[in-house]
Amino acid sequence: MSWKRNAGWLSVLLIFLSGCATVALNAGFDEVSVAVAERGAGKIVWNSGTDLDKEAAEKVSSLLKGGLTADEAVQIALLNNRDLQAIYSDLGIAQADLVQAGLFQNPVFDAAVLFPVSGGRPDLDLSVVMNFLDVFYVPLRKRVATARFEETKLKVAGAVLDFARQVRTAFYLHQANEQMLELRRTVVQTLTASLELARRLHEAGNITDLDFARERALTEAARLELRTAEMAERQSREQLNALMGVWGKNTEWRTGGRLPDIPAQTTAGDDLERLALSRSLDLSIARQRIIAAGEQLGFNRATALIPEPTLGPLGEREEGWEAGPTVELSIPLFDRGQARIARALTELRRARQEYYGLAVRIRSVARAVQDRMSGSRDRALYYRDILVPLRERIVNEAQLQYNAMQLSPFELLRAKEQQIETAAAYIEALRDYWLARTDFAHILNGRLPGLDGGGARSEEGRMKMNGREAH
Amino acid sequence: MAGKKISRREILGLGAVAAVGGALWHERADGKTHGGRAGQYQPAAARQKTAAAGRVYWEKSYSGGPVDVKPLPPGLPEKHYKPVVVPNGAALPFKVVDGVKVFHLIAEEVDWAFDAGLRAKCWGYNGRVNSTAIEAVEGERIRIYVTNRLPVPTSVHWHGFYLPNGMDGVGGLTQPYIRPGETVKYEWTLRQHGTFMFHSHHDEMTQMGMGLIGMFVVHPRKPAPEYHVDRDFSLMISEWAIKAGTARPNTLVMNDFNVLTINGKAFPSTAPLVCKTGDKVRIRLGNLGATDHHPMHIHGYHFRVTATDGEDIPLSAQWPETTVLVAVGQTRTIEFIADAPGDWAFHCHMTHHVMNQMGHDFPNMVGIKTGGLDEQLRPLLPAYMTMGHTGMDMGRMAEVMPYPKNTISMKGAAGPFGDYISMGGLFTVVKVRDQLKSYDEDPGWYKHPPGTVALKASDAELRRDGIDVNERTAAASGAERGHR
Repeated sequence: MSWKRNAGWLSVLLIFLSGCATVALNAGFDEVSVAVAERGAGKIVWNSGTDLDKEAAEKVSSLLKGGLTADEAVQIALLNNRDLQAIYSDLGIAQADLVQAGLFQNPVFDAAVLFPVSGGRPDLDLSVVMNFLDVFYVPLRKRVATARFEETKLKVAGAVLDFARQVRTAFYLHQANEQMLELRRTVVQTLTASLELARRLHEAGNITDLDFARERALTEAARLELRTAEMAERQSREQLNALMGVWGKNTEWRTGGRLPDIPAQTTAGDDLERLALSRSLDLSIARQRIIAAGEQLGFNRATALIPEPTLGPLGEREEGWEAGPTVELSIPLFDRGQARIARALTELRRARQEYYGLAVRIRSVARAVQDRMSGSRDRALYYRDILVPLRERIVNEAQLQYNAMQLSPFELLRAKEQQIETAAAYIEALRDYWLARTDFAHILNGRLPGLDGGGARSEEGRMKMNGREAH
Repeated sequence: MAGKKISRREILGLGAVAAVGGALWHERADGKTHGGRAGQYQPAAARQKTAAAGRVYWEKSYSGGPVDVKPLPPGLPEKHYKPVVVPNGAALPFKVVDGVKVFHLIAEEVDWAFDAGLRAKCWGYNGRVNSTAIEAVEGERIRIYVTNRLPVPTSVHWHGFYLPNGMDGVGGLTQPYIRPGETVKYEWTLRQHGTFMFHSHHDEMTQMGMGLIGMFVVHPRKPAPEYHVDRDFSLMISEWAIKAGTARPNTLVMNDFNVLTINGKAFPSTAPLVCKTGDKVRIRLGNLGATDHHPMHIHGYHFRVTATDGEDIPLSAQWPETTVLVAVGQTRTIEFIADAPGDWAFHCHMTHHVMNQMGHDFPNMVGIKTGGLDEQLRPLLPAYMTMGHTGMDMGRMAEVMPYPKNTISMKGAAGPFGDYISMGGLFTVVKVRDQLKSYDEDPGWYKHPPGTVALKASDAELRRDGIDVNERTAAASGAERGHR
């Protein structure tokens, strides 16, 4: 084998191996984008200093101008939240890993110069060695990295969906807080009127200091509750500001009206568990983990007993130039790869168990979320159709009784207050429904919403409603 | 009185003897108490004639004497007596069977109108509530069948009557209950005359409260000339708790009655007592309400109390009055000559008893400053209007404001001067007219002769009499001093 021939063969191989190995910055994002859009979460853009960025910014500012809906808030957050942009970078990293996996190890150039003690011309020992089995290993490594890349894409899509859920939940909580604030204001208005009436009676000498003080205590307590409601409203607004990534003037957005009414029943029915499983991104991720683990195992098996030979041309000048190939082999004497194989095998087993465990969890969460949704739907409807009209009827009847001077004006105002408290309880029930519905959509979009029940349900309103007695 | 036991009756007798100084006990041949058959019934009026000095002070018997007297023939209306007028009511019809006057009293549920706009499910007799009167004549034998169409047992007590103990009508004590669907026969000979009553004597609180009460008028057999009257009214007073918006009396209530009625009607639904100028008028008043006594007061006249449910009051013992207290379970008969034409109020003097459906839970609003209150409340309650700050000075509010169903105004009836008559409940009008088309027709409002109505004083009048309308009263200047 002549030197020349060897060198020519090698250079062709090197060029071939390095030819396709470039990193695409937006790799995988389009797929993620499609997956997210398919699941109704909205449009996503990866800010990359292109015209698209400008378009997105314009979209955000135009959306912020109108009264926001939940969908719009989600869209703004998807386009404008920088933390989410940061998550997209995972795609680039995974893609880079994939490219990395496809690269051959660089050849090693080895040069040695030996100076004879006796003097004379130094001996030159030159070699270029490379791990020639890379030719076989690269596809294996690429398979592992591809599986990981797929996993990353799914993970990023999942993160986007999780984020969208978070925004939607925060939006509903805020919308409910706004309405609650409005109701608290009306309660204060009612009790202030009641207090004013009591003040007039007290002034005229018709009621005792005791009764007046009692009336005042009710009103002052309501005023304190109003402060709490104001604070809650500001807090939830701030949370949305952070999620939507807005600051400065852009925080002057407003919501477009009230919590939507209960829509017609959405039933996934008996199919729910199957749908939840088939659409589960989490399961797909787990599946990719199994695949990656499997590929890793295959790779480890393939490389376990095979020494890592390096092969290269060696040129040596002792007397004159001598040339020949050089081969290095590790002898699988101590490490026969058994540990690496066992590890990969265990990882695979773990991935499999996790997959099945996840599937069971998804079924359970799907059932639980569906139950939560239909339960909160029933509650909200019960308030809307039974209790709220009943409280209204009570106010009307109390007004009639007041007209006939059978009922004191304080009792009439108390009836009004109880009507408002019932409206507040209805808002809470409606909010809980929308939170449950968000989670239900989330699980059908392939993500686990967790069993925390979305937003914490407030027992406060109901307790107040039951606890406050007309006096 | 040591050593000798003296009965209560003797003590009373001694007292009476002492009072008249030597008057004798009226002894009669048939004066054995509750013993064997005692011959034909002799009216008290006839008995009196036989008494020493023509007066009877205390009878030996306080129960009418022997039970089994031979009855006199039944007395007939118009022929033997002038029937009483039952405003808003009617006398119970009867028939005569073998010399016995037979009545059929039916206790049943009645959907009763207390006033226009207020009905309630009550219990009554023969389709009427409080306004079915039984009329009979002293000495006759009566047989009263009582049919129970109520869902509960009942009994009828004949209030104020001398009768065999077993006819007294106390459920469980003197007779078994009249069970639902049963008909029970009461029968006795009337040995007295006067104004009496009848009512359920079983679960009284519920059954009387639901309306099972009535008047029972017994005319004298041989009326003295002074018994004759031109108008003889029978008014039964009662009280009810019918919460605004409900339609059944609440018989558990003990004090806060809100509907007060004469013959089952609350003013302005009480029919006027129509008289002709110069008529001799008798008003028989009975009170079978739950707890309240009623000082019944007449305007423009004084009257004499001529009888109780015990007996006629001797002329010498009658005294002039303008208000007679009719306590629970009493009857009082008053008489007067209606010689002053006009529309004269006749009413209970308890001010809460001339109100309808008072709410007792309303705060005292009198005298509060109202400016801006309604404006503050209307955003919340668009129909809100401050009330009560000027008292209860209102007309028929139910006609101008939405009210609870089946609820009437607390008071008020349209009057002749455009202003409301601010009365309700135990209020009626004695309408005395020189000319009358009929006693059965409301003659309308009285037309006052010119110059006989209190009207706004003219400036000329004020000047003439030196009345300074801006003059400070002593109280006002005193109050001012107090403030300094």
